[in-house]
Amino acid sequence: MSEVGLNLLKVKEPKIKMLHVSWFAFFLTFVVWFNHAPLIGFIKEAFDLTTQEVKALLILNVALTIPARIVIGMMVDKFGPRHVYAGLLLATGVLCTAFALSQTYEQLALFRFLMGFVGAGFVIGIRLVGEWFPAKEVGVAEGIYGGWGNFGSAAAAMLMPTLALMFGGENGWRYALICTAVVAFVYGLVFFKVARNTPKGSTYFKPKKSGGLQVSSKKDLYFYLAMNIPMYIALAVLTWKLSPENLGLLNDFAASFIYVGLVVLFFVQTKQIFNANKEHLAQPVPELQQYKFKQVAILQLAYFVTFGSELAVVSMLPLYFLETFEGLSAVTAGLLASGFAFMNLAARPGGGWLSDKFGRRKTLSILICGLTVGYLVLSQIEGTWWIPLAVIATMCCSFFVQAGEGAVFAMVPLVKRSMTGQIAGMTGAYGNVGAVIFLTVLSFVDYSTFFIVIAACAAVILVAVQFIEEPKGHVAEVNEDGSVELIQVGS
Amino acid sequence: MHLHSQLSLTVGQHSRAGLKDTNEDCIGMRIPDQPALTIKGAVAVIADGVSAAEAGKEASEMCVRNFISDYYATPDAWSVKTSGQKIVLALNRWLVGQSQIKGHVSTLSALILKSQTATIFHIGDTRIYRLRKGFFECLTTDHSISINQDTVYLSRAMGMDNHLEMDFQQFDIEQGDFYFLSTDGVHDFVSPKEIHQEIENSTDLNESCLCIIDKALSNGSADNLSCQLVRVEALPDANNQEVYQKLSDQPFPPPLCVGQSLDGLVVQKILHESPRSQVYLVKNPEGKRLILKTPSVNFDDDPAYIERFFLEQWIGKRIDSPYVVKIVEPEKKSALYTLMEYVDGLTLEQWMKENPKPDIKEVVRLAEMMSRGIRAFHRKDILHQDIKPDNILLSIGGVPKIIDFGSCYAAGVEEIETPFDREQALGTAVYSAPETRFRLRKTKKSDLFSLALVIYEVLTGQLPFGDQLEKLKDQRKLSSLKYRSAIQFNPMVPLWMDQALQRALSPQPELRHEAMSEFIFDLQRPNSKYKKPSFVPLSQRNPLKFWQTFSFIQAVIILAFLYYYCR
Repeated sequence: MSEVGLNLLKVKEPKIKMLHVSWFAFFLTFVVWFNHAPLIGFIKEAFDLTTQEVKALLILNVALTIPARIVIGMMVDKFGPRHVYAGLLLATGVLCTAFALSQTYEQLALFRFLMGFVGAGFVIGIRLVGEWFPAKEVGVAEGIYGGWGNFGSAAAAMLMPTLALMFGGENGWRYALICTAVVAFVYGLVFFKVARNTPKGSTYFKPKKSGGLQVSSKKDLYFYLAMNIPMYIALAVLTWKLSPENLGLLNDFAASFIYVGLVVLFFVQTKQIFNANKEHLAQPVPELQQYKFKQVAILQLAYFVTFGSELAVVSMLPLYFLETFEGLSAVTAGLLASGFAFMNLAARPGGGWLSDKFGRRKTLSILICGLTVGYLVLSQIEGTWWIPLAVIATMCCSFFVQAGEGAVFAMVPLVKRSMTGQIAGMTGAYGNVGAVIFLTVLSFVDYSTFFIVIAACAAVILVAVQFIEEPKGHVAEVNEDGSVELIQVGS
Repeated sequence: MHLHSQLSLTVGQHSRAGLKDTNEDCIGMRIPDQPALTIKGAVAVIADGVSAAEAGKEASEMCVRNFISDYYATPDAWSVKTSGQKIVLALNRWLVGQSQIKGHVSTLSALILKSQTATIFHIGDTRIYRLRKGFFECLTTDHSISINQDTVYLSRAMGMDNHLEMDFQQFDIEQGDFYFLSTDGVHDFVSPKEIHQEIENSTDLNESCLCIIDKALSNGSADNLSCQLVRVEALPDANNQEVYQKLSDQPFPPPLCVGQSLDGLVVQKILHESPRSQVYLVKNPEGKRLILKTPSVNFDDDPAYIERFFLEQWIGKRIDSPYVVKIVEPEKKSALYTLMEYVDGLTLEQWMKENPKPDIKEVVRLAEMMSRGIRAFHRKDILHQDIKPDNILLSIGGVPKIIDFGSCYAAGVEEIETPFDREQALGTAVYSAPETRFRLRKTKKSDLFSLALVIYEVLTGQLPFGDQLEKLKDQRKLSSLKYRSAIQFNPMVPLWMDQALQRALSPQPELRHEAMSEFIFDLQRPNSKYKKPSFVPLSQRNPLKFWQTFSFIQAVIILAFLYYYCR
């Protein structure tokens, strides 16, 4: 196969410029989305919060992202990536400033909850990059976009405590947050000025009908519906967590209202899915159009444990270091915790590359195996450990986690090309479901058990991954003289 | 483009002189082999030569024979409507010409079944009936005037007048439909009910035609007797698996690198890569340079995309013009791709950058040649839909060539049904006519708009509407597009050219030139209509100011009255 290299220094080339512009936008959304985690020590102190309340904040941060992804996806369809991304960045700036100026826990909770919207920025850039890069480069480009953007949480972990200290005083953390808000806001304007939805002069075609994913059989339809249930469960669990029985952030009425809303939403979505498939399944689906939903479900699960755990761990790690090792300052804890997300730069694109090179199932199995062991090791960390060793352990674990994310997304387009967008969206959503569930678990148990739960999930998913099938199709072979021959494999 | 689904028909027909000496009726049918059956469809024609005319027999024969042979000789890309209209007009003109010497008058009813659509062309008192779901009805109206019980005159027929009014209708075919075509010798003497009964229980359609004619004879018909029967056994695409199979037959080539070869074509250079396709400069075994365009693997399971890719080659092969790039047929083809001639030169986009102040005469020359290229498409009932500087190559000899048929709209192909939704090109935001973008009725004038826009840009380096056209989101705001005179950007542009451009660039298609040639003519020499900027009333030039002034005067009058009465 042809080796693909992107020359990222050719900034003059419009598509490379667009890649830089968009990964940086994603990077900033991630910085802002996780700027509270490394500062949580300060916030806890300032508001005199209980550990339960802190953990609730962490969950709130990722909850809204699940439905927000769908909303953002629809907005991109309607307004195009440029307007939506710029708008999102501007909104981010405003919400984050509001969060920074909060005076009560309720305000903190509300604005953190709303900032969950920021986490849906990923979807926009993926669409944008897809418009700019040809098939052979789009995988690498999206890997860079995703990986470098996710690095934003590491940057937040490194920068935020330092910034807070530089400003100093009891309100230093507020100024630090406002700094990121201002950067995001200004960049929103820059993005609007610089970004373009499509290369100049590209021909438009009537957009295809979007909507519910079309599956290939009745059995798959029920499978698909079943796979939607966990998303509602995750949101229901969160509501329960906030209800009077637990934290009491919501009163009885509001909680019941949300439960009913979730049930209604579930039925609406189920109906939509049925409608999208009714005609389609009335006749047998042509072979060219067939795919197995199983593949999608397994990728969703794999992303659940990889990206889901990453979001959860990135949220809690600074606090964890702070509480586990005595005598650490908030700055050091943040810096040490940033090691987890730091690996993103190389691990995520690397995972995609491994998957292309050594086979999908094998790569994914090894990576999930690795992260299972990694989380088991993390569960053993105690205050008596030599700190550098603990950091190395987190970094090793995170390599497998992020390479796993890369491997999942390298496979997404191979399931069913024409539905890549929808499949990517559904897989991504599962990452957020994972974050909500893991963080909710964290609010009930201690840190060690939290890591063991993730490891146990990973072990189960490792079994599921064994059922994934290598994508088939035409394979091109290059002979020694450089001539390309096409060989049909599979079917 | 899939050409493999089959319309399946059974037919029967019979014609007899009856009690008359000569048979002036004429009937004909053709159910061609593939691919013509899919591309052009099946035809049944019936004609009744008018006995009062001297050469009724010749006229009816002429109608049937020529209609059928000419129909299949029309370009593949023509729609049924275009094909039928053009043939009938030509045929009528010929008959009228002959009638000057000897009366050549005939009725004509033609039924064309293509894909899932039936088309009827009809003039005179021959009839076409349809039996569907137990319901038997006549689809045509007789063009006749009855003077009294015995005398009926044809009011319209072929060969009567140069001005031809032909009935035209189109509707969907259904499986199990019967079509019955007959002359007045039959349908005046056998009731629809009897015909209905006969064909409903028919096992042999030829036999049924005979029976019906016998019945007419026994009922006292003294005229010639002819009828035809067509039964639709199966519609195409009932089994759409086959369509998909055909479409996915050829594999997609992988993205190629310089030095790799495919079917003996060695890649020299990667010219363009986009999310939709890749374009390479290649050398064939004889050392000839060619252009290879491969589909993007992003779409390898998208039937609509694959069909469009096939269509591109299909259209390319059917257009023969020195101003349109030629498709080359490879010796062996193991994958899905398009091979084209290589044109040594620049795209118009690059040329514009190198020639910011071009010679006006040269631009007019280019415009004329480009318009010929576009007309080559139009003659085949195809709209290019994506005329832009990137899609025009200027060879070293200075000859422009249109490339990229990826957005073309071929009326004749659009009529062939597919089990999936076709891709619809909306053109390029900067260069497409508003009606293309907003999916309104697109015509040849849409290509004219794009051509004029390209010429405007070549002349001035600017766009006539700035970025307003690109930003236009709402078709109701068409009138907000303000044309900026080309002269303000390039004082060398003559006034008449600017006015010709302005007219061709009207956002509303009905305000543009009727034909491409008219526009070119206007570019080449001053049109007396344009010389002086015509007077535009203030209410149109500046409605805001007009109404402001109007209201102000009104207010003054009202105040004056008030003052007068209150005093």
